Amino acid sequence: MIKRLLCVHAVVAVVLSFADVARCDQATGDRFVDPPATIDRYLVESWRQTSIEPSARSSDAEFCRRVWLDLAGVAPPVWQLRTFLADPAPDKRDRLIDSLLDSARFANHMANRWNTFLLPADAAEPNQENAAAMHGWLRQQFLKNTPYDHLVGGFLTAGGKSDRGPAIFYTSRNLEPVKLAAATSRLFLGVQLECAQCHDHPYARWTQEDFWSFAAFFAQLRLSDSDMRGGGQAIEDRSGGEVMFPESDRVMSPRYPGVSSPPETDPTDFRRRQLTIWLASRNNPYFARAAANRVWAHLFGRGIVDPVDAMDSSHPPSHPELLQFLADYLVEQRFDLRALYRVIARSDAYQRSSEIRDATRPPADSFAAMNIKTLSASQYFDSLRQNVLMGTGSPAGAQTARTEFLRRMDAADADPSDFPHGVVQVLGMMNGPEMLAATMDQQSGLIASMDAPFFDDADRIETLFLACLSRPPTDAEQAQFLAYLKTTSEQPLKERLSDLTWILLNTAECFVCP
Amino acid sequence: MFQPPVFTRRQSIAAAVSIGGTIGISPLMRSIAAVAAEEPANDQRHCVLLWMSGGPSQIDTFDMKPKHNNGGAFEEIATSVPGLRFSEHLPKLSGQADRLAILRGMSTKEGDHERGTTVMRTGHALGGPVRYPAIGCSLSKSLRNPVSKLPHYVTIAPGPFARSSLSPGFLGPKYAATSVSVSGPPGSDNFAALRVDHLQPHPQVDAPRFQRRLALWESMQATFLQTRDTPNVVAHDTVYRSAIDMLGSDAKDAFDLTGEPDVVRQAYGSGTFGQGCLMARRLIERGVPLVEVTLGDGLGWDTHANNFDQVKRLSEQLDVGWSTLMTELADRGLLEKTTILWAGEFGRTPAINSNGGRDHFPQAFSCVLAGGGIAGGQAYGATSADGMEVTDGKIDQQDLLATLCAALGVDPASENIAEGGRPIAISEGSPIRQVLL
Repeated sequence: MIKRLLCVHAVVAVVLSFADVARCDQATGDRFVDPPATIDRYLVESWRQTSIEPSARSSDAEFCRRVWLDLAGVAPPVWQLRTFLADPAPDKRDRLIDSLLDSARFANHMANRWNTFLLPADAAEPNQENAAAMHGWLRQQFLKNTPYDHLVGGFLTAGGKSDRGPAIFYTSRNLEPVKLAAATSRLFLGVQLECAQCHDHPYARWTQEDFWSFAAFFAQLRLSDSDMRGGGQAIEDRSGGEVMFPESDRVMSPRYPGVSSPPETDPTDFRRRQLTIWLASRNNPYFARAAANRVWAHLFGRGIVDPVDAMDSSHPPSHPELLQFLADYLVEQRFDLRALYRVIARSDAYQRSSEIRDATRPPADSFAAMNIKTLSASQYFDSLRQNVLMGTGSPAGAQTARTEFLRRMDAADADPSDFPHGVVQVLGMMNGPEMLAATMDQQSGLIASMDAPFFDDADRIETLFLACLSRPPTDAEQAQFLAYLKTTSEQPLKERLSDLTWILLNTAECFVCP
Repeated sequence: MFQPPVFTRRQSIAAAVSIGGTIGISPLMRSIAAVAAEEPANDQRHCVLLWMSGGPSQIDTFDMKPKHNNGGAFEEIATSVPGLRFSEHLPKLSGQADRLAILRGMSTKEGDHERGTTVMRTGHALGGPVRYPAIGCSLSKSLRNPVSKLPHYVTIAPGPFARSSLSPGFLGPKYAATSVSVSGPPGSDNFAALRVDHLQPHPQVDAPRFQRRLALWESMQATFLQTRDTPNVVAHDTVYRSAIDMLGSDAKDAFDLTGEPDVVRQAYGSGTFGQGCLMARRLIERGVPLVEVTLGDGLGWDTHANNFDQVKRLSEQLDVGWSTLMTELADRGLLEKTTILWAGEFGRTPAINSNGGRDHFPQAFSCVLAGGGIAGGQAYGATSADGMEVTDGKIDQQDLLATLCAALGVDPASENIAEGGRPIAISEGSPIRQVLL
């Protein structure tokens, strides 16, 4: 009885969602004339209602560090930062956003992020070659700016000889329909369908029927025989495999969650293609919303629905109209992810400071002050390598050091609003081999570069700040650091610079995106 | 000569109470009773995991089959508990058999090193959607000592193998174990050299220089926190301060074994395992809730060939290290607060192969519980005469871990929140009541 009620519920909800989509289609064209302004309008209205005072606009340095770390995955290189700070043009932020979005670094960073999302947390290490193949595949898609629906469609139906990259998504889950259904619904629909694996979902509309008939889309996966020899992994769909409803002999036929009618038959019974036709389509009310929410969460450190993979009734959106607008915009832009990144990054909201002076900090889900995001281990290491180690030592050595650092600091599922590390990791930060390399003049390119004859102490301190924190020192900091260089003069200059580098690299400021 | 007393503190005090009034008590008993009386109320519990990497042979240790062809080369010997018999190469543990509960009915489905290690350490098979934490991480989270400056979970000489089974999984890196590794060949004193990773500042940074760094670092942190006091920034600061506290405190001396008299160091055995057990005692004395000591660096117990020589050598290390640890903990009144689990990833085949070795065997093997909360002096469960199957008291890894939890006073059903908000019990098994006090 309860199950039937839930089913009815589901149908009603889907009808409502379709109504939402229909209403958007009818909206007048000017809805998308100035999307950044529209984003800000929704937010400003919510702050007015709740009497929240937003923070000030970020400084150029704060913005530059943020947008580099978010879009390129590293802190700005010192010379780029200097050029940006010196540029008087009023449109320099827009130009920086555009150039980063068009850069190979963006594609690389996005591939890093999606590799983490797509692979079970333990899968990357034992399967490095295959994880690298998927990274390469994703990077290509982001370089070409493949529309998101095509990307997901291509990803889900891939696995043959020509595109082995995505196969690891399936093989790392042992081709098990249950795991694949769970991962697919989390990633691309933003819902945790797997909670309905054993019982009807208590907080959401999903039933056990929904889960098992969704899992049936993955029932026919097989490792391809022809490719077992080559060492690579290829997969294919073969008729015959089925999923049974638990503790019954009932074969589940594939069905889209929350949709009562069966999918159209596929000429070759390629079930993953059947799934993709609905999943990555504008008729699926969850797909664009989940994608837009993930982009927002990437840039603001938390989703409009949070967490991003639990978009159910127990996690209502903080700004429902805004989320709908972003999803509609993404559909209107034919799932051009870069376009969505661009308009959000151009909004005042994204360019607000995370600094709050003499006032209470607005709640994180109001987006009235930028949320401070903890860097991932790769963001920290790559920034360190680029700005401090500066390519000293062999590339292979640097790669080994990177792998080792990521292993020690592994926190694949960490929320950026959390600091996931404990004493073990922090001891490694303070006393580990990367820090040693970064603070020893023989290995630290940054400290070696301080030898330049035209540098005085003030220049040196400014360069250290730009390299480590992406900003010049304040007057007070300048004075303190100068005093440090002068009072301990029995030490050689390089040792004192090494101390200052160590200090900056171990600050909280160096481990966050402001 | 170092002479281990043969009774537990509980027994000593009981003896003191029952007989002290009539016939007087020995000076030793008096001093133990005095220590007990002065001890402040402290209900900190501890757990020691003795991890036998490679999969120890049950038939050559705690489940002997002397009357069967599968029994092998070793003799069995009587223990302090009538009817309970161990291998001849475990004489000291035999003397403390009253502290041990042998679980002879262990059975799992995983006969591969990595998969077996994961199952035994996390309770769950490798490769599922949930990243289950190692039991040491879950337990150290439950048992954590809020006032200690030391880490909550220390793993000694974990070796390079199946490191992901030591991972804190969904609990997050905060709950990761602090690793103590072998820092090179034994020193001139012949004792294994053990060292905590990254516990020392870089060699060229002396203490005054480190202090100068910290002073300016503190000022930078304080300024940043004034205007950006979000939870992640505050947490960064808190964790750094705990790490700095530890570096500057006497607590880290726990890791320095050179302060121990040679006679004590010798009593534990000079190898990595023995010295690791000594370090475990020092850490428990200082309030660390969870210590793991590995025997068989790499896969030492993986005795596919030449089983008997290797097991003899490993048993000798095991015997002195483990028995001395229990004795010393008991002397300090800590054994009843410390539960010990002895386990490896699986057992070994009863049949002896053509290389004089034994192969992987998860179907029927032994684990041992000892110390606090454990009803020692018994074998629970039994295997058939040929050792091929469990005939009584069959348990799996979930029951084992649930029993360990229960012995430590941790409800195995207590839940932690996994990725996506799903609550996950520490262990889903049923505690074995018969081996619990």
